[in-house]
Amino acid sequence: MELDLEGCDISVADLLARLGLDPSEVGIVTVDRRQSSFDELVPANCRVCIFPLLSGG
Amino acid sequence: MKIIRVNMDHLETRWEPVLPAPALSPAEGYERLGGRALIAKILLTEVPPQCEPLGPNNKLIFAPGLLGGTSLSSSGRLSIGGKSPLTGGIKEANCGGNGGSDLARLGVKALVVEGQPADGKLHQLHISGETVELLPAEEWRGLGTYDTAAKAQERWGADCTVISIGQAGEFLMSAAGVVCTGHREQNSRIAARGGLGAVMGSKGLKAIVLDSAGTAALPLADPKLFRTSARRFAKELIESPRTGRKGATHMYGTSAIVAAVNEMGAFPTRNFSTGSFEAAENLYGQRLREITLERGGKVGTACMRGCVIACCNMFVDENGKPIVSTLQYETIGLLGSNLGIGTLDEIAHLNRLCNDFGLDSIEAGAALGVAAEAGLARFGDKNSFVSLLEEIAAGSVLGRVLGQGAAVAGRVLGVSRVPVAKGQAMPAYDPRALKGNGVTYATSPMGADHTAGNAFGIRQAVDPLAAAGQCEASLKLQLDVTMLDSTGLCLFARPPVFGDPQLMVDLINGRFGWGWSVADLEEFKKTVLKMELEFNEQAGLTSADARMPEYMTREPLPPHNTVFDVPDAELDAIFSAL
Repeated sequence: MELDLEGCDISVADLLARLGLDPSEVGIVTVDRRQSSFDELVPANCRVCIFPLLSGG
Repeated sequence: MKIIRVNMDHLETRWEPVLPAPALSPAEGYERLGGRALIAKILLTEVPPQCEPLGPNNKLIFAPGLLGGTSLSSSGRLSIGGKSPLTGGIKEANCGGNGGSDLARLGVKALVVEGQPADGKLHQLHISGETVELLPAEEWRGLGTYDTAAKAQERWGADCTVISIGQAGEFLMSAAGVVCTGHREQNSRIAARGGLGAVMGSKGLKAIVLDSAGTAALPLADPKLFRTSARRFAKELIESPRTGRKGATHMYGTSAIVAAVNEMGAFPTRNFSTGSFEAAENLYGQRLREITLERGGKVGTACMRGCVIACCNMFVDENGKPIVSTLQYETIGLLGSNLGIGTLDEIAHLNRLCNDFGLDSIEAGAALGVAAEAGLARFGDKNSFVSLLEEIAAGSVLGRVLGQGAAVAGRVLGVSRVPVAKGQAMPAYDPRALKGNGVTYATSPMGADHTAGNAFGIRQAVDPLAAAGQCEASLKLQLDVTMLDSTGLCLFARPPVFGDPQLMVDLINGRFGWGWSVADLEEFKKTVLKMELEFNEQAGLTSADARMPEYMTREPLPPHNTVFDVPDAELDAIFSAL
């Protein structure tokens, strides 16, 4: 999905809130393929992937 | 609980009492140890660390965890251990299925196989109640593990658990694992890593059959404490967004992580040449679930009785015929993207062959990737890899080279891009993009083993692409995992006990009444690692073995174009605080 942030600075946490996602159920967030912390700002024109809690095997 | 000694020199068996250990002293005696911890202690006490792994002085040990055989969910993993022919050091590999639970219910603290039969013939071991029989099994020579289990269950009963080796183990190949049957359709669980299937083959043991029917429940020192703690444990797993019915682990198994690892650029592709696979979307967990359900297969099934997580699947073909139980992440990586193969059907077929031949799909996949780089197969061409796997099963010269694993294959075939640490193939997380795993691969006494300390997904703690902080993260994971591996708990069941160590202490005290505290548990974890490190040191492993392959320190991995750059000095110092 594409999301227009209207030029605002937004953190990963803010983005999750905007999407209605519970942070406690989010496992990994990548911004342009890099794992990001929730307090990092989301840059313009980036690709964000949000994954649930995951367990590797 | 007692120990069963199986002497293959004289083809004799005997029950042996376990000497009580002094209180709060897990380093002395075997009583307060289980699973991985017990294996470490037995090896350190009884096996010359410089012995030949496939010789008479090595021992092959089967040990349930401390909590195995109880009603605790997800506690039935079976630990198998010995000196590894692959790494030259200590090895504990564990598998799901019913083996751990059955051994515990039979009152077996450890099954220790010693010596070698002089006549070179194969045998089967049957355990039922107090009866332990060592019988000929030469007629099973050359059978894959599926047929071996079928023959054994035909003879001893359909409900028996069968632990066996395939052709790879018979040929003493270092990529050979030990296969164990499990719950219902989960008929092929594998203690895959480190070549323990070859050790079992070197002992002339084709199969172990466990019949735990009629065994009584294990005693509990404090039934109320144990049952209350076990109920809380199960409740937390069921209610967890990770492991509950709507959690990714239950719905997709570990295939759930394909998308994330690929996005992070750590998904090994075409012999670890890049970290992102163009066809990864075909391999996502959601795709596996869709296909499986469309075709009438199963998802969300348990490999062991009583597990509430139930992360397994039965992958079927277009006609609904079972191909393999269970198709999981590591195999999707090493037999999929690593070979340039982007369809689940083809990966499942390769998976089945590995299971049947008794091959570690990680080691085999890495060896096949090396072979493809050498031009012996074509990336993306499943049939070319099927041919190589069949060579392994046939014991041809080429098959014997590949069956010894990726490191030997690389040396013989003249390939320098060989993804191994301590001689063992790397799992499906490229360490250049997930550096915490690189630290685990390099430093763990187990060699390149992601289950020894998987840094994937440690939430926001450490940047996987940065060198900083990886050793601390890996050490904590390595310590915590010793507890799981020693209690029989599945890795996926870790959240409740990692979140609250007192819960683990309560479970242990409820079972045994040892009066442990959290501090005792922390000391226990350190003791296990120290025993393993000591064995490896005596076996001759040095800091030179605790390294990434050189090419990974200079060849950038796309898409991030990073190398493994955690300083050697940090790797060398990781255990200094133990």
